[in-house]
Amino acid sequence: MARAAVSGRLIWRAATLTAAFQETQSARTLVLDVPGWPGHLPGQHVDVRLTAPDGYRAQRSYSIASAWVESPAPSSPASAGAAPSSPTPAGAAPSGAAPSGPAQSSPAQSGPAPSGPAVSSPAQSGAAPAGPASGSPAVGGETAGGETAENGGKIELTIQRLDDGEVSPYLTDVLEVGDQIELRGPVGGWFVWHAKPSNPALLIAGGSGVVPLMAMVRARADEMARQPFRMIYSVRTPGDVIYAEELARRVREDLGFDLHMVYTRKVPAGSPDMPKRIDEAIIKSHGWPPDLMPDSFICGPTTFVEAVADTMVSLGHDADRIRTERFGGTS
Amino acid sequence: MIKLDGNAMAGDLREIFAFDMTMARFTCAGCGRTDAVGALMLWGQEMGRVARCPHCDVVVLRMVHAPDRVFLDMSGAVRLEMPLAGV
Repeated sequence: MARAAVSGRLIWRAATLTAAFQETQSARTLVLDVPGWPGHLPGQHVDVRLTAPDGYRAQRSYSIASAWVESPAPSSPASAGAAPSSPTPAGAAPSGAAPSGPAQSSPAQSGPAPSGPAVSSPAQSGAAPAGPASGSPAVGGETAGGETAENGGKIELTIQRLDDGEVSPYLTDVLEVGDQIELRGPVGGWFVWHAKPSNPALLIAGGSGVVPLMAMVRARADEMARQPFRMIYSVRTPGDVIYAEELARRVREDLGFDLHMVYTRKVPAGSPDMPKRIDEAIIKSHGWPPDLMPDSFICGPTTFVEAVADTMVSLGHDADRIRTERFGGTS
Repeated sequence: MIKLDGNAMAGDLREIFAFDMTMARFTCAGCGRTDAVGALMLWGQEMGRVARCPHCDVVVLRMVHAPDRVFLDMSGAVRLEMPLAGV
């Protein structure tokens, strides 16, 4: 599935915010409609660019949180069709019902349809004569939709607000559904997960560093990959856990996916543990032994990444199998 | 205090190169070690960035954006190695 990673020219695209979920007090997931989106690999980024009225520009790199499911060949009609990242918005989806939201039925087709994607059915019918699709991705495959269904699509970014940041507070607090931002990507091929049957994977997240790792967990489920995954996720307090509900659900439902939470300042009520940091003992107990040669992905703030990577090397892990990314969320 | 690494340069490098440079491996002019461009330690903002070797801190790569052009100084890398087919 080496796809998309090397594609055509990198261009800035207009992305429209179609939905947003508050993940924690300071983290927000943006669901963006990006016409012409070529697809991406789990772990890849986008650059986001904001332009002020006076022409001043600020640009930041953010990890993509959602997985991308390739459209199946037109032969198999309906269902999964265009829907990227199937059950993604589980996290804080208002109605709770995960699948409702992302029923991508309406993805690109009528392109600009602003408020459109709210829920699958309504909008369209009234909207455009173009769409005989009646809101189901099925027909889209045949008619004009064919192309758009494949190329258009939604991606999700989860942004951690940094109070002194220039870009992130705008994305977490100001940007509203229907607003547009500029975006280019996907970019980056190094901190990317590729399914491997032979060895397991270890994902270690610090804070919002969980975002690209979540894309890997989602992609693994979407691809029905068998590679065993273990995640160790370090946060300050229980209130800082991004994707808390979805992670809990995936531990139950995704075979071969295990999660160990580490709290550095405050443990959940009733927990017998003390706050602590990821150390040798935790990696030994909740990671994989070095002789299984796990592919390891570590993402978080610099000091976190370095401490964890050093610990893993001292435990005998091959440094070349450890990939790191410092701080998914930038200012 | 750095917050980012070479992964965050992916977009700016992809603007110049046909290949995803974060996957390329550089050989550091300072210490001779080899690592992925994605692992460089990154300083600065998009208008001017300095990327240092994670092993010896030598400046491997500098990138400066002027309004109508970009300057890329790679004098800290004596070699770049990249796979020909996307892995």
